[in-house]
Amino acid sequence: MKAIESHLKKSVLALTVGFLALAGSAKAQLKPHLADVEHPVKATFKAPTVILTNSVKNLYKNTLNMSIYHTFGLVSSGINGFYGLDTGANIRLGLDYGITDRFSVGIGRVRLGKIVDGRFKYTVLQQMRDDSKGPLTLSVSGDLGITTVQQPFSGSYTVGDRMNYMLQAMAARKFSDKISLQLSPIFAHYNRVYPGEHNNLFGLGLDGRIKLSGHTALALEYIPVFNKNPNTYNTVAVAFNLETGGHVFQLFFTNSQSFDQQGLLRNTHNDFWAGDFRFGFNINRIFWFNGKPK
Amino acid sequence: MKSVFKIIKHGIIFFIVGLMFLALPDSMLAQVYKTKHGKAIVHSEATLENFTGKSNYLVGQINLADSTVSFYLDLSTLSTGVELRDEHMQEEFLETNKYPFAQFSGKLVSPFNPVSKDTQQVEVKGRFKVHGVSKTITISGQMAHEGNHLFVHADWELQLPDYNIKIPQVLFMKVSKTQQLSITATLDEKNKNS
Repeated sequence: MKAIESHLKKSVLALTVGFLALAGSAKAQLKPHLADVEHPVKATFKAPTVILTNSVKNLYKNTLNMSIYHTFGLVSSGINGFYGLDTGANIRLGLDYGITDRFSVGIGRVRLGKIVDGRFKYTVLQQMRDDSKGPLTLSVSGDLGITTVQQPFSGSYTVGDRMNYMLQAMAARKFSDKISLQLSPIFAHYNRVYPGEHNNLFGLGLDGRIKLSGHTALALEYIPVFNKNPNTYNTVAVAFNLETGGHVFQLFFTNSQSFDQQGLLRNTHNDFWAGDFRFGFNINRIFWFNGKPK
Repeated sequence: MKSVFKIIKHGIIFFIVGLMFLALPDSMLAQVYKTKHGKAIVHSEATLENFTGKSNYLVGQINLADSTVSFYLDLSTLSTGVELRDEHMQEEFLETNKYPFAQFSGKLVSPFNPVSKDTQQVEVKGRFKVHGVSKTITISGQMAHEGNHLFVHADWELQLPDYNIKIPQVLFMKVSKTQQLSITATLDEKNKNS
């Protein structure tokens, strides 16, 4: 009997204390909810390029990105060409500026072909943390290039002949903190080409990024071209990315020698799978000009 | 057998008293104050680079009846004025996707006189949680009661390593290990139903 009594006593007490505690705790601690503001998904990619193709990533308003893209010669040239460091270097120097958080413009110059180019990128749609408000980021970019080498063709070579254009639509989704994927149809047009080459070229950029740590990542790129020029190959690139807060370094191997996407579709003359690839790096240095908290 | 009934009787009385306690804070002691737009500031002072992050989305509740204090902040609302830096802060340090909130929940441990209109020094003690790490801290601040409002202000320091927040070695951005935090909020009197 005593046992039952003490048992009852205990359970009644426990129940009462439990109720009181519940009453107290329900009021004491707030259950957190996300604030009622836009929550865009950040850093789908860290740099305006995944490796060689443009990424959906746009520059923020009032930021300037100074970029140096550099590739060497073929690693397969062996010790004679010091694994590509001796010959075949190409370089693009570029400046891009964010006019708004969604619109940026840029200029650049590529050594091979002495191409001067102007480009823009516009973010149409932004992926949101809440999928129903925006499941992916969609950007478009365009580029106008002018070849300024003296005389690649015999006969007349007008300013119009020197022009080439590129239009690209990038759709990307950050699937997790680590993995981002991008799909981007690319169209390029050359006003004048060598006999047998296409004026219009169609390609598809397939890109992926896997973060290895907070500031390092591995990126992969494959760009099949649907109407390849004779003796050209699809571009392949594999990169290691390092980010430091104001810099993004991309160290990569690729079979392409071009940096402008027109050139990626037109001029990739080496076969990656036959071992003909070169070492290259991109350096992006980002400067900002505003600093007051909103 | 009689004593068993006695215990059950006592139990029922206990239970009713308990229920009354449940109802009490809502109806009689309407001393709950809330805000959704408090101000939270993070200040980092390192050699060559200082920056301040601000948010106006601090959510808080103070109950003078049972002295409980509870605040939280959606960390993705912190803005330093440089989007790139914000992106960095949220992606690399705070990992806001994994740990979206900074939370404090505790109790007033010093007396506070709600009748006086003077600003009073107060102390709260409780759990502060950020980046998935929770620690017991004591914060001193000021509190003042006027009309239907409760003004609150507090400053304290946070050591990033205590909360397992790492600053990458290669980062060129200068971030101090000690961050100065401050909150300022005006809380409005609330009934349970509002």
